[in-house]
Amino acid sequence: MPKLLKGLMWALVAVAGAGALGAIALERREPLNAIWFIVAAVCTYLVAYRFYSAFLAAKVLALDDTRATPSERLQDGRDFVPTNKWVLMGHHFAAIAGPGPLVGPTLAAQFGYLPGTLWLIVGAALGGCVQDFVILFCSIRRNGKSLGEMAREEVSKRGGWIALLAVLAIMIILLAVIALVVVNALKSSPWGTFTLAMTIPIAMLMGLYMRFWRPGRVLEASAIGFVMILFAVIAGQWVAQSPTWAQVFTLSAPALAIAVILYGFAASALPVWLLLAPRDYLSAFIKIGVVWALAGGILLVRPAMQMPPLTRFVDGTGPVFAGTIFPFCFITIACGAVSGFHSLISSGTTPKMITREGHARLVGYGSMLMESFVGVMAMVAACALQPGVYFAMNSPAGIVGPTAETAAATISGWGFPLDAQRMVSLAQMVGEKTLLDRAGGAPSLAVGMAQIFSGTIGGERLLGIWYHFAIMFEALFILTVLDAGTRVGRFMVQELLGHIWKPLGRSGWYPSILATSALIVGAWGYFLYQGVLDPFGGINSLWPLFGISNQLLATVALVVATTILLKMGRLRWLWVTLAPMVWLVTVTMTASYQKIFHPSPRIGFLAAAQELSTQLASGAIPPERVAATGRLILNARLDAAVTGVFAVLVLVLLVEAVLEWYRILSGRKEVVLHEAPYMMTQMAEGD
Amino acid sequence: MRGRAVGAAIRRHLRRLWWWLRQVTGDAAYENYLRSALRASECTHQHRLMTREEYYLDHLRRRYAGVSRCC
Repeated sequence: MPKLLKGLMWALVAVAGAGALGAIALERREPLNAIWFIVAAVCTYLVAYRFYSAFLAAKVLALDDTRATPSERLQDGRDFVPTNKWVLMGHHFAAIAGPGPLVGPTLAAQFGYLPGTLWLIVGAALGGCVQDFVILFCSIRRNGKSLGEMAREEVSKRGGWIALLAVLAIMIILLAVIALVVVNALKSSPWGTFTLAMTIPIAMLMGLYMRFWRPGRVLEASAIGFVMILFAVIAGQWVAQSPTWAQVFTLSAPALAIAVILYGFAASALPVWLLLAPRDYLSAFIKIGVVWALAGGILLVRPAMQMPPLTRFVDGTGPVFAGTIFPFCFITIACGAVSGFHSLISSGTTPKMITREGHARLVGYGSMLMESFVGVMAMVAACALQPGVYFAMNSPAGIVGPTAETAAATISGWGFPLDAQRMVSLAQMVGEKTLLDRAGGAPSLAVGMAQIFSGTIGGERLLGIWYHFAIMFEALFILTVLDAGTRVGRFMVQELLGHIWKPLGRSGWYPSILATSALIVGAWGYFLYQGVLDPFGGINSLWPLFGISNQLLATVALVVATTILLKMGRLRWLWVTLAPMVWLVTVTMTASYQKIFHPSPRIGFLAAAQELSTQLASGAIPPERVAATGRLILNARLDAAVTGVFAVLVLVLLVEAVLEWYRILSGRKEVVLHEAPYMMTQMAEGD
Repeated sequence: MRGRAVGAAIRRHLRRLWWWLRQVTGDAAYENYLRSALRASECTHQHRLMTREEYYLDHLRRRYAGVSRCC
């Protein structure tokens, strides 16, 4: 294509993106169509990928395609395997895309569609993608070393330990909060509970199929599993309509929490081929399909945004979670914009499979752009709902009251008109008894998705099926993360305990498996159960805690990346990782401080504990609730302590890194870069 | 003539999509392993090749020993 035409085409893409972003930010006269969001996101991604990632690849990282990557030098056909870049991108995307980019934007929709959408698009292009790309590059140059190992080698020994502790802590909070999302979605829902329960025997059947009957035939087993899951979604309706079976599958939130805890323990202790692996295959299969279907549905239905661009809750009084737009919007949307957890994948299996350094641009930067797009679609699905319905579903009963009438009165009083009958009929249409008090984002996202899907196929007649398909889809891969995370947490605890008593470190020794599984499940189960008992729905306290820990892990990753760039002599381009790092430190430290010390009991953990203690001391708490209140006080103080520990860990790492930078810049320390030595690739050009 | 060319192009793209799907899902992992192991054994004259079942279990053990899924 002639250069001039190319330039003109890119100018057009940039103008279209800027115009769409402008419309999202400034249009106030009529409800905005979802197409504006798609155009804004896609055009910005195209420009960011074409220009910013190319700049990072050429100038900052100086990717070298003549340099043999670990997959070539250490090729063993098992861990180190040269892989086609499009296949690796698929692997990497499936690994990084979890429930976070769906749930986070849905919760942040309480501020309106504007702040969340802007942060998803801009945060990903300038922060999240950069982090994933640079860490992937650093790991490739170090034979596929993990983030912890790189922190230990390039920053300090303590840095390695901090990274390990941060990963373990984030894992515990992450598992608790996503389990809470499932519990809130399935409580008192026989249809949803039955469907999800059926995924366990279906996964086990798939596991047996791939282990004994047709070893390793993933596609065959996934196709069979998918058909069975669809049948389970349909059969769930019959269960919900049967008085006997509906009773069996109608569980309260505490009962569901205990069931999820027991399930997590079983999944961690059972052989991986029986439950975890088949569920993972099935969930990846459905995840990629649903993401494409949602994109297609949005393009076909083109829903209008019902939510205003900014709501009154930017002042921090939001019912879904409390806290002002800064810093809490940026804490709530973690995975769709910047996710520290991704750095573990970028320094995990992916660097061991990359064929050429140049592919890191597509795999690292490109996959994160796709994840951001998933977040934008979740935002569209949530904001296409009538705001009254959105708030009725996501607000805890402690704020809007227990009935449709009280919820409608409260929410209408906030300026979002809601008819109580509308909530009742919507619940009936999706096959539920009630949709109230479902904090966590999953059910409101499911209603949004169901409206988009039913607008394409089946109309209102199929709204219930689509709703429960969406719930099953979200719960399925939340449980996959729960299984995989519990197992990894178990390995980490085994590794730590192995230093105290050797047999405990043996990953195959059954007493150690049972003890460490119980330990890790007990840890996240504790936070899950406290969330279930929380009168404000648990999400209010746990999701910010998860967001803070995730963003602090991103800070750790960007500290490591900045240190390595500095050691590589890229002082001029240091801002590419330093700027997002400074932003994340500002956001997370502000959020951590507010979550601990804010005077409002809905925001500050210590203020909440203090308020409850005062009520207890004054006798305002009825005798039957004294014990429960004591637990709430303890939990609030524990949450404050956990937040404080996260913040202190990262501050220590930051101080260590800044001292290291000072020593390097002042010439007091010799620069030692722990890269693998250069070796020329033997691969042909097209490989 | 043109219809035949379009048909061939569609078949080629479908084959490519099927190949991609098998690679991404891990369905082709054992064939990849065999190819890679045979190439390696040509150089080193060693290796007992794993059976499909052995490879599958080994693959799962390694896959779930570290962080494999994100939030």
